[in-house]
Amino acid sequence: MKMMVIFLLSLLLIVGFVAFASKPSPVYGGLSLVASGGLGCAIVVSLENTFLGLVVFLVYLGGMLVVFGYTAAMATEEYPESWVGNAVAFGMLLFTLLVELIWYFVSGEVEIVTAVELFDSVGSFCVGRDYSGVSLLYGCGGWALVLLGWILFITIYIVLEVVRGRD
Amino acid sequence: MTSISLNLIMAFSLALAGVLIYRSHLMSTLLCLEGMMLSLFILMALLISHFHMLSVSMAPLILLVFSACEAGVGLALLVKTSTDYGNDYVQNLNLLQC
Amino acid sequence: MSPYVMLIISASLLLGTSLTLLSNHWFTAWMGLEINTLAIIPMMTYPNHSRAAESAIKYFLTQATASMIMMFAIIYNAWMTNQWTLFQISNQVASTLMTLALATKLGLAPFHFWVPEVTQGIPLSSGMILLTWQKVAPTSIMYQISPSLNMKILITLAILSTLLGGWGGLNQTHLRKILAYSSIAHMGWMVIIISINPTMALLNLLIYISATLTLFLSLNLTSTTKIKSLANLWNKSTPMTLIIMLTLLSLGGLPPLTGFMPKWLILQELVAHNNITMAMLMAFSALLNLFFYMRIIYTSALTIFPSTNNSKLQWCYPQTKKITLIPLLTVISSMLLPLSPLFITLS
Repeated sequence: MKMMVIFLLSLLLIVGFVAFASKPSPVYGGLSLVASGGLGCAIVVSLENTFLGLVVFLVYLGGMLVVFGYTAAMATEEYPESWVGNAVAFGMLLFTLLVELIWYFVSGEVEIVTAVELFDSVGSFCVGRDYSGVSLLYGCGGWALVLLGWILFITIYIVLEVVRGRD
Repeated sequence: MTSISLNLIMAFSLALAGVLIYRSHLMSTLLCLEGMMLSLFILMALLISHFHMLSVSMAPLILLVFSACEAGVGLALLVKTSTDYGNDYVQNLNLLQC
Repeated sequence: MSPYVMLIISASLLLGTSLTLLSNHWFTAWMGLEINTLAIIPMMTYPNHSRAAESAIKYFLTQATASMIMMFAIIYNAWMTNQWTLFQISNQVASTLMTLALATKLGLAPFHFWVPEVTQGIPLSSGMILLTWQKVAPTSIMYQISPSLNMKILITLAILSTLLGGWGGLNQTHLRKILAYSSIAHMGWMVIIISINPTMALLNLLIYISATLTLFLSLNLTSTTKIKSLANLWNKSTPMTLIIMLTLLSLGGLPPLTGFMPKWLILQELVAHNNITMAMLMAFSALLNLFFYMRIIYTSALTIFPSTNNSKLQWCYPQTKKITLIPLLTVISSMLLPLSPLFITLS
């Protein structure tokens, strides 16, 4: 049952990816990327990676919202381009459908579970098995932490140098 | 499990196709790059929890940090072009063609 | 650019490449490549005009896409084989994807379109870093995984690179574009040998890097970016014409100069492995390169371009720019051929 939910979530994720990969107006694109981020978080959480899901939800979606606000401010078109009549989006959806069908008929691994039970996985749910990443990062991966700090530090300089107008 | 990872691979390749399409705004291309990163993140989290690779379990976090850095630099370049041209259509980037 | 920022950025460039060179885990190698990509961006946008911004955008987009594909290959490989060590890429799909990503990073032929355009838009000093230092990290990864790479894909990439690197440069008058096409061709020479004899590929990269450094430094001395402005070089700085001529002939691979050594060894290795067709194609396409190098030499060293009498006195003013590295690099890039037994025994 739980795998089925995750499978449906991943199908929704593909739809979300089609929505921004077909390049509509950035407003819609940003919106669908935020939606896909939420779906991705849901997938990660339902695979018992609660901490990573939290990080994605807070950090990634938080950052994405800034990007989304920026794109909304940038999009000066009066009628932003949506997916209506977008051949690329249609083609991508069709392609996805084709691949899924081929996969279904060739391997037939997708079992449709119809017995819907709410909270069927509460008993075996184990919170925070993925904290080990952080503890590793603070422990034996200390140099990686320093490296990441350095990267974030130079990114500030890079952004400033790129944006700053000279001459 | 296999069908879920197939779906994620599909999502990755859709975002890759989105980056490669030469169309409309530069912003959309950057969004597609972010989407590629997102699908890689989910794939990696899936991989690590599926095979219990505890020793590389910090990799998704590092991936997120790098994706934040790339997004920052990409947005800075976007700001640079939009101050140069007034908009961010990728068709403007044709000064250097041979 | 402020010197402090310059220091931080160049330290990060060093850090990125050394991280890739030192790592035996795929993830750290990927991190090194990513740091390299991010750190060179401000060097590209340093002159504040839209051409620099455009080349930075093109560079950023191609490199970011390539590193994502590389990460995908890493994850796919780990999924299939449970391995994260750098030399284990036994899965066929993952190895192919990795080859394509590295080819994009190096600028090999079907993925070479960014190289001339990006090099064209940025200043000479950044172009020098882009065409030399940025090749080191992807090459080191390719060197380490060379036993598991697909030979057919590599040969296709190599032949296309040498041919397109020769043909593309024929029509150009901008020196940076010519150097970019020459870089594509040399990367082709490097890739064709990498699965047969990886050390030879490193030797080729080393000699290519020293010759390209010499050329870029001597062009930077007079700030020349077009063949036309090279025509006036003889009265600005006469020894420079000789240096440029020697280095270009060395890049083209003419016998008494250093550049002949890697081409000779590679051709010999290919013939020894019964790849005579390939060796012939490579040797022919090197002639295309030699043709456009000869055009530069013709303009800069073989002819004296008509000029007004006032402009003929420029040589007598003292040089203000330092030429510290140029003599050393010229010697390295033109006179190392007698040392080739040493390089052969190294492998």
